[in-house]
Amino acid sequence: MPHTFKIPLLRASVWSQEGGREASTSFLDRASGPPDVAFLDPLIRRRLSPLGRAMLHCAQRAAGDQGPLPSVFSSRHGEAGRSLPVLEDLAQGLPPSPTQFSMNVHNASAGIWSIARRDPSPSLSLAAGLESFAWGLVEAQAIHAAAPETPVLLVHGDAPLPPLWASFDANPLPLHALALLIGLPAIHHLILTWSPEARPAVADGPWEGPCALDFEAPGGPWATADGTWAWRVE
Amino acid sequence: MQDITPTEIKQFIIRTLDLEDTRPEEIGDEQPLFKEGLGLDSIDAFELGLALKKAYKLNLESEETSSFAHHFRTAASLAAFVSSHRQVTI
Repeated sequence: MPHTFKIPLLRASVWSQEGGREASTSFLDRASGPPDVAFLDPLIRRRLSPLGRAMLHCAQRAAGDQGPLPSVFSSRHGEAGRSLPVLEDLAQGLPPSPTQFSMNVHNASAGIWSIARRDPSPSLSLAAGLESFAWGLVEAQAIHAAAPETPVLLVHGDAPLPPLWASFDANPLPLHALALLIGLPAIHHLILTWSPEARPAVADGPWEGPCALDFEAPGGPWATADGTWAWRVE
Repeated sequence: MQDITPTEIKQFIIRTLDLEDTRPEEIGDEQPLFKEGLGLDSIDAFELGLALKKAYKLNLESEETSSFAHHFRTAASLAAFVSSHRQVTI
């Protein structure tokens, strides 16, 4: 049986490397070019990867002047670009860079976000393969449903894998990020439908997961290992 | 070998630690590098130590670990430390 989640949205921010669609409204901030992370102390922001910069650019624009905010960070590949140099150093018997080591964890961006905002609210960082964005949405909606008076911030982003690992991703997406402020009263709703029984016919084909870049457009159905996903914003 | 100047050390610190908005002349020779001084932290200390050791092939065998905090205090003290322990010129 399909599961439908009606997710209330207050604000959204999308960032992509390629420009061309910068039109913004009071609901949606769409940007490209260098991410704007001037709100972070220079000593804090210097450690952010390009992915971290893109994600926190969106996080800040979606969060606006909200106070303490529970947050969910989702990314399929996370800081893989930082893990590889650490592993390469170890393989050569060299001590890895402490900065690369400390920032190659999956919750690196979430950690910088909470430190910069001095926000002790619950925060989690998840990866769920091709479905990372979809499960991030479900997780954030679950947190919001448990306490509807509190908005929840969902921040998603991904960067292509380093060339050595590129064969693990059949459909690499360019560096991109998106943040959604989930809360009431909703400006729009994101209707997310998950049909766990609807499995793709070809089990080992290149599955296309829900794509954060196209979150405004009606999406799907995307077939994944866990069934199919579809959504629309209304 | 010629002594390393505090300015060279400042340039090395800025480059190694991605201090994107800092210029060498903004760091005082005797300004503390850590905490309330320039604001570096313990990860920076490790990063800087490893990078200096690698770049200048520092000979640290006779050095007590407990003395590092003293040598890493300022750009001037670090320049003197690197000058007396390095085995190569970069």
